[in-house]
Parts: sequence; structure tokens; C-alpha cells
Amino acid sequence: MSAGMADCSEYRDLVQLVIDGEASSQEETYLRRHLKMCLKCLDRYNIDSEIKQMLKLKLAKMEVPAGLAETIRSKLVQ
Amino acid sequence: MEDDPLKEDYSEKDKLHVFDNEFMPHIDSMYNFAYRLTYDEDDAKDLVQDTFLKSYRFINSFQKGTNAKAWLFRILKNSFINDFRKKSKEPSKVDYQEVEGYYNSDKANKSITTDLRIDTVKDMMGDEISNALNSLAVDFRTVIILCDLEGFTYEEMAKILDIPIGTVRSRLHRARNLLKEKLHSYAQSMGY
Repeated sequence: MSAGMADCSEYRDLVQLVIDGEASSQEETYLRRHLKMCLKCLDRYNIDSEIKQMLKLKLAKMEVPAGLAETIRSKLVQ
Repeated sequence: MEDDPLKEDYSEKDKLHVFDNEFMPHIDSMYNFAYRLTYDEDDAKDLVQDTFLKSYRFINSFQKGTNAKAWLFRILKNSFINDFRKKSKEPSKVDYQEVEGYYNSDKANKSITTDLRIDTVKDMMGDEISNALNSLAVDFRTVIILCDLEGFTYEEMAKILDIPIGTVRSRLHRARNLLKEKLHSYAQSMGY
């Protein structure tokens, strides 16, 4: 099998672990070595990283309604 | 929570101290999580209020020095399932087997990875990304929110959701594939 046609299922899981900061340094090195040879996995890594960043950057944050914290706090001592 | 063998015995003063200093600072994240679960400002407000009142009632189950945010998120998630989800029109359970069968297949992985381009994702507006996320079933939406927006570790997510870490990983994997498919559909409909 050529590198591009390899079964990449184990790397698919590793991509997720590395992106989420859950991989060990050995696992990360193992994946990075593979990414130099496999365009398909490199694409997946880049897209998944980008989506993760976009979610954090572009999703609007809701403001906590005014007075909610005070209402909750006042109910504690009732 | 009541069954937790490691219970603290806080004084009334300590309870308020823990509540004010360890719980209340998370109100912003809690409200955003509640809103993304319910899509309704009043429901989100009620859910956050219920969660904080429960957290105070069961405060002896909160061990000092442990992750207060994860503990609060777990209570919020359980309150949502028990009190809010029943009222919601959303199907209560995703057919995971059906989803797993398709989304773990090579065909699905191939079409998603080859068709969605990085520049397309970069060009997308917040609304498009938000719509794609909101269109996912709540269990899939939840793992993405917890991981990508709130930055919880897999171990923390496993505790919040009461599922094994392996299930966190596979659910996250499926959720991301579904999200990519939604983003791809948006991209096509917008002519990217």
C-alpha cells in the first residue's frame, strides 16, 4: 500500500487526541511523522484544528441577564 | 450526590464563602451552556438558577480543591435532562448505532475530509457556525460545547456526562463529523 492509500483509522483517532491536547508526547510525535507523508490525514488535522478555533472565536457569547446573580444569592438565605 | 462517601462538613459561613468564591465566578459559562442546551433565555435563566440552588443545597458533596466548574456543569446537565428535556420537543435520544454505522465508515470520512476546505471554514460567519452547531442533536452538541468552548478534558467530560472516556472520544468524533457535514452543506448553499 502506498502512504496515501494506507488505512488511517488509527491516525484519525490520534488527530483528535492531539488537537484536544489529550495525546502523550510520544503519540504526538508518531502522528506528526505520519502527517508528513499523508495528505489525507494532514487535511483532516488542519480542518479539525480550524473548526475548533473557529468555534471558540466566532460563536457569540450570551450576556448573563442583569440581576440573575443577585436573585440567586438572595434565595440562598431565605 | 447524596451517596458520595467523601462529604465535607462546611459551617454556614464556609458554605457562603465557597459559593461566592468558587461557584458564582462560573455563572457566565453556566448561562452560556444553559442557553446552548435550551435556546431560550428564560429557560436558560431558570436552569442556571436551579443549578446554583441545588449546588448550595448539596454543597457538602463538593470537595474542596476539586474542579468546581465541572461539578456545577454536571448538576446543570442533570437538571436539564431531568427537568427540561422532558418538556422539549427534541427527540430525547439519538440512535447512536445508526449514526455510528454511517459516520465511522470510510465513505463518510472520505467525503467530509475531501470536500470541506480550510478557507471555507475560515470564511464562515459566526451565525453559520452557530446554526450548524445548533442543528446537532443535543448529545452531540454537548460534547463539542464542553470540549471546544469550555475546554474541559476528556476525564472531566466523562464525569460531567456520566459516561466512560472511550464514549467521550467516540461521541466527540461523531459529533465533529456531523458538524463538518453541516458546515459543508452551508458552504454549498452559500456558494463558497
